[in-house]
Amino acid sequence: MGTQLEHPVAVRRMRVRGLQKTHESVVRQELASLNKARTLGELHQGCLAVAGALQSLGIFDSADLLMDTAQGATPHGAALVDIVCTVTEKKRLTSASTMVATQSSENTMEAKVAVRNQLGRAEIFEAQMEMGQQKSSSFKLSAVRPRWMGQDAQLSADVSKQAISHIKHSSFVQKLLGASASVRVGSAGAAGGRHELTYALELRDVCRLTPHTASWAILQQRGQSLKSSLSHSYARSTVDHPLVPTTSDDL
Amino acid sequence: MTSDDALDCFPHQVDHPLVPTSGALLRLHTELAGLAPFPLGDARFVKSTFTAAAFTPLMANGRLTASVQVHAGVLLPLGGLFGGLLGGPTESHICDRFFCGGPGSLWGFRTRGVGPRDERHSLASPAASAAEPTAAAPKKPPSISSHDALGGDLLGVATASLSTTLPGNLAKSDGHAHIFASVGGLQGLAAVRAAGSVVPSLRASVGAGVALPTPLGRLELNMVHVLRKAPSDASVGNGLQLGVTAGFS
Repeated sequence: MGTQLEHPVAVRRMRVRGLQKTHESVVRQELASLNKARTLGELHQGCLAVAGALQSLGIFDSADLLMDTAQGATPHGAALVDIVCTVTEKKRLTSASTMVATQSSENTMEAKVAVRNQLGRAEIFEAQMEMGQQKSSSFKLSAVRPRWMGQDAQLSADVSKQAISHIKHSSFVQKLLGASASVRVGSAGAAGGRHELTYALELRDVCRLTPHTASWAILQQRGQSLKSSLSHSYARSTVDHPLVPTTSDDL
Repeated sequence: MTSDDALDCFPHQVDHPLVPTSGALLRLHTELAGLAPFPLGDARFVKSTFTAAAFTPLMANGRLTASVQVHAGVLLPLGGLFGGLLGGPTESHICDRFFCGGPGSLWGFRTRGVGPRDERHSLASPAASAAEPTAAAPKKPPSISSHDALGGDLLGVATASLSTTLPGNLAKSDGHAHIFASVGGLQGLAAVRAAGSVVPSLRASVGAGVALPTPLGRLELNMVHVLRKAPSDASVGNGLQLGVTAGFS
């Protein structure tokens, strides 16, 4: 078995089946990594990784890869292999959800609608709305590309408008109008961990003060400010379950 | 106008995000505002937060767990550093400050109930009160505090606890019963400089209760007792306190 896995191979041709709405480049950019495989074992591992990557896009019900031996060999003696990738696209790509939560002593209701693969590039468009029992509210539109150029890199951008009520504890409402763009590379479970770089532009406004009762210190803080920020985050984890793990071997 | 560069690093190895029984967690966050390469904005400060937690089972079957958690933060306006060489304001903005108190922060106190506060103006003016002492002047709603929480520049909270799994069928819920002791405080830089120490501003509380992981977060019901507080703090005092937190506390 070990000898077979070390057997030199080279990919001759790759075929993609089952695409109807999705652009073929979405699958092709994942398959491109298989051209680097030099042995049967590497090709096998590569096929498993590609199948997992395609599933992670969230637009396929199934993604299967078949390695088929072709006739002939390379001048270096490596066997030629054809790859057949068969995918089944999800029929329902729109989802909606609602939930009720309590944040900072305020009951809030959230509603979210997500549309996947509308442009055939595995992208996700999401609209999120949140209304609070007091004066808090939030509206957010976002676009996410789960993978980019066949890499485990997620691109996302969003615009949002929020009002966060601090009336109960600090006699003011904080209004936020902002936009952000981020790129996330890797995953927390991978060896290199996850890195995320985000740029955000945000207009903040301390407003709606309760004029007859707000303290002098709060009255002095009212007004607008613009926040332009660049942030980087890193995460690493190898827990065996995201919610109720039983073992871990982390950093 | 503000700009900031932030560095966040959080390796962790806890075995449950809401009710961990073993492992450790470390979170570091550093934020630079108003410095190159993004020198936009009128807010110029250095802000750092540090969170560390360790959980260890005291019994082989994991039924008794000890934990220690520390959360600390510092906010330094650049205008107050190096004699104002870097420019910028000498006082922090309320949107950037730390807040303390309440579930997930310091049990025994109300949300944002710890730290610098400023008294709100009276709803009934003195003139109106003098003219019509029994008139139906607007009354302050009981849920509204008489002080505004202003936030602070120096934050520190440490909690030690012992927890055990619930007996019988309740154990299936992943719920835990626990006892804990917390000490912490929140202050502005000017007050700390004037006092020369953070010790006088420390608060302390102890408590016992149950914690249940739910889809909304960690639900806790605790009987709390405040050991030390400042006169302006909004505290529960001695009694029951219910709260839902996004993570363990």
